[in-house]
Amino acid sequence: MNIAFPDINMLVILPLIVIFGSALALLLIDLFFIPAGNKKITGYLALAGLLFTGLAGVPLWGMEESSFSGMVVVDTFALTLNVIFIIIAAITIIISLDYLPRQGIEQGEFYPLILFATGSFVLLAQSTNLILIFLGIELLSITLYVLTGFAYPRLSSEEAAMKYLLLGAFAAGFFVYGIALIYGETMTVDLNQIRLYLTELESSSTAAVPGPTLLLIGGALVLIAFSFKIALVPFHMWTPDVYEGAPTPVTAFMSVGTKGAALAALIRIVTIALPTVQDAWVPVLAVLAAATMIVGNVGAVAQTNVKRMLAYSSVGHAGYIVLGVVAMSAHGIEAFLFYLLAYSLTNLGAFAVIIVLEQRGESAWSLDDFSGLGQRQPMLAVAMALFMLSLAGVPPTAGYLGKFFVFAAAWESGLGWLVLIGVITSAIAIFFYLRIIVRMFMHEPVRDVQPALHRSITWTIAVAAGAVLLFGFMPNLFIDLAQRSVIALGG
Amino acid sequence: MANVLWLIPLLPLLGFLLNVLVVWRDSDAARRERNAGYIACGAVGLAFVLAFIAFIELAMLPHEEQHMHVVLWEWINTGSFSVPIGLLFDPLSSVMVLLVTGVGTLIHVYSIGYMHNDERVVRYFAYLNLFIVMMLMLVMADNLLLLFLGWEGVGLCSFLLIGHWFERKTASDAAVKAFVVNRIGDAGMLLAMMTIFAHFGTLSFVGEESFLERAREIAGQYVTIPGQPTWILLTTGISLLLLVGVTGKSAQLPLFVWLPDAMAGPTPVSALIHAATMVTAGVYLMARTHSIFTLSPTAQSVVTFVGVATALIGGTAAIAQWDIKRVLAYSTVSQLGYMVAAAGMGAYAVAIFHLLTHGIFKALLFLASGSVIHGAHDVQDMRRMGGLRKAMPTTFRVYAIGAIALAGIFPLAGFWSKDEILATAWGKGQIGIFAILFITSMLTAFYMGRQIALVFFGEQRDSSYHAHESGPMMTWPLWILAVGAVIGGAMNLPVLHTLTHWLEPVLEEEGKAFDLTTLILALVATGAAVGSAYGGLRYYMHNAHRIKPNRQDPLYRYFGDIWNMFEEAWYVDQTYERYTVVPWYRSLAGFLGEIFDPQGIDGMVHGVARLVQGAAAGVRLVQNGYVRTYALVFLTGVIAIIGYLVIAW
Repeated sequence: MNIAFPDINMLVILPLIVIFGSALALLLIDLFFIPAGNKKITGYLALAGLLFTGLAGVPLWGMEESSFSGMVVVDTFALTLNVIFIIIAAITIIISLDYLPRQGIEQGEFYPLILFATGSFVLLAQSTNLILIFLGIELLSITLYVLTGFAYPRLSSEEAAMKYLLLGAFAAGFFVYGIALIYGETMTVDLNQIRLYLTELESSSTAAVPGPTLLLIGGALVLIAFSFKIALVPFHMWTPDVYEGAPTPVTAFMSVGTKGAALAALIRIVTIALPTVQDAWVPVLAVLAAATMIVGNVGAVAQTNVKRMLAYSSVGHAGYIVLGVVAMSAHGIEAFLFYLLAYSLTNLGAFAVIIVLEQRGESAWSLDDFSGLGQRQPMLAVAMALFMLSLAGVPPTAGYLGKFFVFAAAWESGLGWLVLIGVITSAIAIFFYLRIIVRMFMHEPVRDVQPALHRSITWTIAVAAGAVLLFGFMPNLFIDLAQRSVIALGG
Repeated sequence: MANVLWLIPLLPLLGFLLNVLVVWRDSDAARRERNAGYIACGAVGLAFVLAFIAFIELAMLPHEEQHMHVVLWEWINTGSFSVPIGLLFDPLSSVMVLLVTGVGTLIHVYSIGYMHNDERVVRYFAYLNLFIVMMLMLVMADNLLLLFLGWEGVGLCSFLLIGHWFERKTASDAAVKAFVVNRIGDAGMLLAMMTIFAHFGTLSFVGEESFLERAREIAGQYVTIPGQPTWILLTTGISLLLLVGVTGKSAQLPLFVWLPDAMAGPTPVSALIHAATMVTAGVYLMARTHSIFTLSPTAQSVVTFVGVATALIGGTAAIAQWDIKRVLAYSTVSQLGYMVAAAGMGAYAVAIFHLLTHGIFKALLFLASGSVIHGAHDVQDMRRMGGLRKAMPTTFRVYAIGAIALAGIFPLAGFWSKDEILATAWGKGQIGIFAILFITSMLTAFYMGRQIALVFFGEQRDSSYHAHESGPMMTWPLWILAVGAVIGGAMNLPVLHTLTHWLEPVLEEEGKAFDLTTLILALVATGAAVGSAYGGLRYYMHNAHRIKPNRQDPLYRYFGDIWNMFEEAWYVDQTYERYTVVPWYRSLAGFLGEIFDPQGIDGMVHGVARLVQGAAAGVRLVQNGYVRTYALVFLTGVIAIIGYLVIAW
């Protein structure tokens, strides 16, 4: 047997090399050189690693190449997503710097773990091979299990990690089985090959040849595994418990980063491999999106715990983002990218405010903490109000335009009923977002909360709030980039 | 300059933000007041300088290319629907921008003196600056949506500033009335915009793809597309809907009732918003969209009728008022009617000419009346004035100049623009319209003569206050405006037609040839104006002894009920009160407030809320924390999806 080594272009995986390399190096540096109690330095080093990862993307800009036998690609879509992921990771690290010591859970491994998870995001955005995507998902899951249980010995954190692990293993099984079925039908795990197989099948299709049933079922199982990661109803059950139990920066990180990365991989799968059978899976995903919007937003109404409320709200937002995918159009992908950016900035900002208000050992995250915040910390309250309005989709915020774009894309693709559900659930959502604003500005303080406002987190909140407004007024700053990403995807 | 066009509206916006965010926090009241005034004036003044530079630059361009257009950014752009934020600076916009910033600057400076020691002065200047921003957006917008944003913005500022002294019941009532009445007009505007977008797919004013050009194109085709309204119906519909918007904002029949009440605001606000700029927005809108209006003769005649009727009602109402500002308010209504009538007759350049001269001399009159009110310690009833020319010589002089300009007496600004409108009516052979406008111009001269006599001549009838002249901060803006009122007509002299020529790229109008008829008309009109003004002046000087607080006008003897009708502006307000407000408000509001709202709306809201809460409780029930339940729900989903695929495929 003749083994031919494929052409390998290391440049294609340069961001991956940099981020995983810096994560590994950081792990060692932290172990040997950083004294306990001064782990912030590790955090700063991790930020430097992220910076280098971002810089590694610069020479690749505009490149469109695939390597490693077509397993990995680099294109504008991946690079745009990388920028978003780096922003997410950087904000997560900055808001953790003071949070971890305050909660007494400062361990140096936290920051390398964030880097590993971010590396898996990058991997997911660049993979065009089911095995590699599975690898990315698993890497991501395992780091997240650890990060979720990071608040040891807080019981709720351990419980959350356990639940996440059990259900995650359950979902991973579906993923592998799905890949196996797809392989059984097509004899390949390469997305481009699958597409070739399907087009050939279609052109030679006669009544005698059966449809690609195995592939469809396999595809459905993969879709289910992704739905679990993205937290689509009914595969979302773990979300409220895990989001509530995990340390708050981890929750913030998961709520935006995991969704973005998993959706990016899903978009690769459905646009590259499965466009010819979209009649089969688009209705499925559309129904999931509808159920997610309804359950997420309705569920949030009953919550009095702000962190849990945001967990449900993030379930609801997953439904809106998926609208961009089910639209299966260039506008849909643009909308997805814009929504992801808007939602990331907004949600990270909102979680940063929660972190500021979170006391040591506290696990209430009660609405009462927000009562009268407008009097005590007017600027913080204004920022929080802005984030809530953006989440609710009120102009002139980025969140409003994100919703507008996904709805417009879905509408153009003839999914009017889905848009209708989206608009109705958005109206329901206004209730619980406004409740926080009402608490902040129209209630008297219930109890004394000392906000832990450090310079780094204050700046993060200010920058996030500014960006939410900026993209609300000038979406074109980002839309152009998104449009080029769509071209890269062949949209 | 085209690249930095956005600086013109940005400067007042910065002034607004500075006042709202920084100056407001200052604890030293005197310093706060000083800073607020200087910042506001500086912002508008600089905007005027920039606008002037841009204007010069525009004038240097070849005549056909006189047009600056900047798209700042695309706010929303999804395939078929795009909202660009773009600024347009063409001949029409340029004169409006100069008027807004120029007169605006003077009124800002005047306000420093007028609002001295007011406790909410920072708020006042902030809103005044915001108004300028919105007004600039309105006249510089390159599409109807952005224009509408400015349109609503000036409405909001007008509401806020009329209600500046909101602890006075009349002021807050007037603010609400202005807002509500304008809502009716805005509904018309919105419907017009939707119709335009539905049929032309764009709201832009600029370029070949603008709805103005498209309207012209379809008007060329005499083919009727089945299922579509004919173009004549379409343009008539759009024009009439736009006209509804115009009647609201520009105080035309039947929606003019808010303007006289709006005088409850500070006088500089009346000068800026309710005389010189905002109320002329409707005329500007008609000029901007004239290619739609000209396609519909029906709409044109309706516009003319509305304008002429408003001119007459406003003019007759103005002669019977006692409040110094209400005279000017009705006069403004009447003059706006003139402009609308001119637009209706297709003479858009003439309408804009009158808009500009009126903007100058009416601002002058309002500011001068503010000076009178200020000097007379907040007395506004002319029956309690008299003989003020001795105490306020400067105010008297500028007031007289403004009055002569408004009366249309040669050679002041009002003469030239009013005469053009009269000549247009005569030239079109519309004798009825000409007659009414001519009578109105005599009424105008008469009530200005009456007002001068009542305020400045004779003896002071109420000696309970000591009138004094206003300070230089208030008088020098008056002098500048007075100079403008004297020479303003020079911008569009007959034969030369500088302004008409300047506006030609936008309005496509030629200046009319000057002939003997026009000359005779001018002589007759001036003669009539001088006569009426002298009549008004003489009559009220002679009958000064009959004028006492709370007594009827001496002319009441001759006119009786008709005089009352004039004083109440032909009972339009009362008609609303009797036939809409009382029956509808009482019954409908009662029904809405006591039955529909608590049971219908609240019931629905509460019902939905209960439903959602019930569902949420259901969600919580399943969300019981047990992994096995979660896995079960997960599996249910898997079975449902696989089942669907197997059955459906």
